[in-house]
Amino acid sequence: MTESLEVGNQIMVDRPFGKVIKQIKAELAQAELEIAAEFEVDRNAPAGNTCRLLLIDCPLTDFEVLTLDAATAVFLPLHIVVTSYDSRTRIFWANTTALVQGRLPAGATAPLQRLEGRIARVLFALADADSTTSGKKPG
Amino acid sequence: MSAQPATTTYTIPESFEKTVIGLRNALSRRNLRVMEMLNLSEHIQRRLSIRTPPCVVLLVAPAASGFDALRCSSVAYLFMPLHVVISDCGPLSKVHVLRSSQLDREGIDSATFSVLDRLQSEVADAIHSSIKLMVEADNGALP
Repeated sequence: MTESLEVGNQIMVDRPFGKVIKQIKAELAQAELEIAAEFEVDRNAPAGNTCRLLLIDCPLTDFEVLTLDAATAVFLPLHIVVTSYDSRTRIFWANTTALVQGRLPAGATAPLQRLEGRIARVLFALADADSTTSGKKPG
Repeated sequence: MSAQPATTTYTIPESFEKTVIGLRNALSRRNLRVMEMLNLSEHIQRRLSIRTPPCVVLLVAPAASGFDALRCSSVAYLFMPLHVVISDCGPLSKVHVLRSSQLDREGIDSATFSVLDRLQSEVADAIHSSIKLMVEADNGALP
């Protein structure tokens, strides 16, 4: 199931958290995207769900951004929030360029949108694969 | 889109290395955690073999209690930890942070905004205090 929210995009995958994390990492690596940092968060959430924050980066985007205006690095790496819901997993990420109402640093929009687009393609492909295997179409 | 910039830039009259150390100390004095420091310029050098001016991103989170309000909000983790960028600018350094006031308030819960605003203001205080300390040290006011 995919859903566009006001602040970003959400995918619910019918597979357990551990498998989805592994799959996300493999797919990101294939798309030449890197996990710059990874944090376990919300360990004590009321429902006992696991929640992990992945910070996604690309060296070429970093280079492009640093040569134009280092202030753009405020938005890098991009965050993906992965949360377990029993045997299902929710993947949530922001559309940073849409979320920011203020003026972005010079030359920031294009590289940020490209990186967001690459991440979205990887994650939507994951949801498509899931809907194929489980016989559901993305919503 | 607002005419206001989405980020705030502070110019620090100190070298990059001193600014990184000074700011990290100032953040920890304010009970803010640097969860990790990402070295962007080193990463570019390692992966693309291209040299760029030094630049690091500090991933800053509030003290543990600050996260309590965010337990159920995935939206909060789209912005947390907050990214504080320090870039080399010759004899000076620049520190860049997000202006939370320039985020689209619709769709973001008020608890998230309040924590973000508080964190941003604490980071700004830390930056100002580190500038003050570095200038005082340069003037010989500190040992």
